Amino acid sequence: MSRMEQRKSLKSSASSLRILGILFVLPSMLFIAFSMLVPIVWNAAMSLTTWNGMTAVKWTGFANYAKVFEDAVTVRGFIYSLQIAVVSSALAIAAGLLLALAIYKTGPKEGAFYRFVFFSPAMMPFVIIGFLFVFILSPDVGLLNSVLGALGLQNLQHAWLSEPGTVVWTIAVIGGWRFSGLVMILCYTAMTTIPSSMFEAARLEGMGYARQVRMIILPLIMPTVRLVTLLMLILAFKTYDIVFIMTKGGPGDSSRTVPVRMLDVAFQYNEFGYASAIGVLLTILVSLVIVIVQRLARGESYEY
Amino acid sequence: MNIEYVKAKGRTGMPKAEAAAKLKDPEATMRLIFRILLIGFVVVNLYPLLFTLFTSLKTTEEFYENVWSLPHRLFTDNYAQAFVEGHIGEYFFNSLLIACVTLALATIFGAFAAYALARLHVPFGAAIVALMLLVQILPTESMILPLYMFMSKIGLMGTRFVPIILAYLGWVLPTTIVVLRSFILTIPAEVLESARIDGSGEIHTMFRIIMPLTGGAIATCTILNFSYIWGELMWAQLATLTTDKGVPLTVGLLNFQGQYQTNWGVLTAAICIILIPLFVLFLFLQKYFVQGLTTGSVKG
Repeated sequence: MSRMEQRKSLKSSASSLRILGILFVLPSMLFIAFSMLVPIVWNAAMSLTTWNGMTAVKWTGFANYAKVFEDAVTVRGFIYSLQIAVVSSALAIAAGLLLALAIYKTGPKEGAFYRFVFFSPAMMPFVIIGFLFVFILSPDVGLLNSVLGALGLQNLQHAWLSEPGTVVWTIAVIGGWRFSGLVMILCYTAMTTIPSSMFEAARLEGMGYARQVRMIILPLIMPTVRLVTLLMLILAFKTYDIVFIMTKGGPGDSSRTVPVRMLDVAFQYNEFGYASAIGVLLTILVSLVIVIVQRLARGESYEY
Repeated sequence: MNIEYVKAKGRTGMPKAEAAAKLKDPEATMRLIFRILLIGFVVVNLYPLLFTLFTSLKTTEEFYENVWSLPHRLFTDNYAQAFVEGHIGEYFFNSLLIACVTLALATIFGAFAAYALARLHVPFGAAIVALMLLVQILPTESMILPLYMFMSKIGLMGTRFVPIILAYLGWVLPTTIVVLRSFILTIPAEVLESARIDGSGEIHTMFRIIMPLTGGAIATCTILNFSYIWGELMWAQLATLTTDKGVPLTVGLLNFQGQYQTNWGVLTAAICIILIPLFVLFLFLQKYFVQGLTTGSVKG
């Protein structure tokens, strides 16, 4: 084969690879465009209109966004969603990290059992978790109030999910509990990659575990912790399932988080333009929080 | 004697005299505190589940008589009632079907796209990968309304399973592609080159070389996507607003809750019917669950 021919065949194979590449990617892209890309753009456009789902679409510019800030229920929805996301992320990270450190110290054999148990809530669907807690937190026969009663702590008993003062906190704690296992696994995995030689000097100096944690373990797993923080926030902003199952936004509006409010606005009041604006604002809020946390948590990572 | 030496010698085979000294050892005390903490948390995690299991095996009278007691005998009427009258069996089947179809399609399409983006020349390939990374973190709230309107306009909304599967497929594909692509990138290029030189066509390469090599990554993705699909509620609700056919488990449970209110026996039986298979699956596939939920657990 002459050089010319060889080059030609290479060229044709490169272009056939290109065509094949497009063919391979195309079906996926069509599905993604259909259920993500097009709807996102459409949603943004719809947020600038007034539409009740029936009559003609009316272009109203940013009126829907102005409405969000005047609507106390929606504004509180944003506060609830933010509160649940931040509180449950913080709880999950604190608890998960503590559990990982405890398991790391007690050794891998027992650890396998603990890891299995603690991780299991992360694989249960939120619907089931919500269901479970409706039962556990039920005011009269629920497990929590029964335990408090049995311990003589009647004054701590609450109708956890039907008191405006406790409901959002209760939901946030459940979210934090659910994700603590995920944080634990991620942090524990990072800890197991720390070479044991790192601890030799510490052991020779008689450094206690608390100081080892502060001086060796935490700095070395910091990149993982940062990643986990972002992951947690993304996960914790999904405040629909658990809220809808447990309270449907109630009592009154005291746990009406953004997604619950959005669907109400769309399907109860038929204000699709307004609902889209709420969706867009939620997207912006989530992105903002992620960017801020990323900035705040920026730090060095050590090579080892 | 060097205390450090004793500590380094390890936790096993400590003579009795030293075991007494061990109590004063701050390390051992700390380990004990940690163990108590861990066991406490195990109880917090497991007892509610056991309590739920016990409740599901009791009659209503038995439950109200003494909330704490163990079930007197194996009372399975609650399960029968949940399964048949509560339609849990039907919902379970619907969810299983939706999950299987979506996962099969997502794996096939996702693997092809991931392979192309990793090893073939796709125009704007880098931009597509960046886009996939970006759309993963967008909340579903920003897309479900137009999707709902569009699907009802073209008449898909009344059909069984189709609207649910179509949406889920689009939603799980970006993560699938990202995870599989980064895995395929770790397969040495020489393997593919040599296959190409030996005259293996790309589709042949795909099924004979890529798919078998990416088995672990595919399992991981499948678990990750499965737990998303199995638990998704918002879209499932919208997609079945106008019909009671093909209702998945999540929405079915809500109907169920409305139907049984505070009939705790039946409600807890329903919880157990869903949780027990999940736990069994989890016990055997724990490795993939952990990998799945940790590698790309963005959608969840």
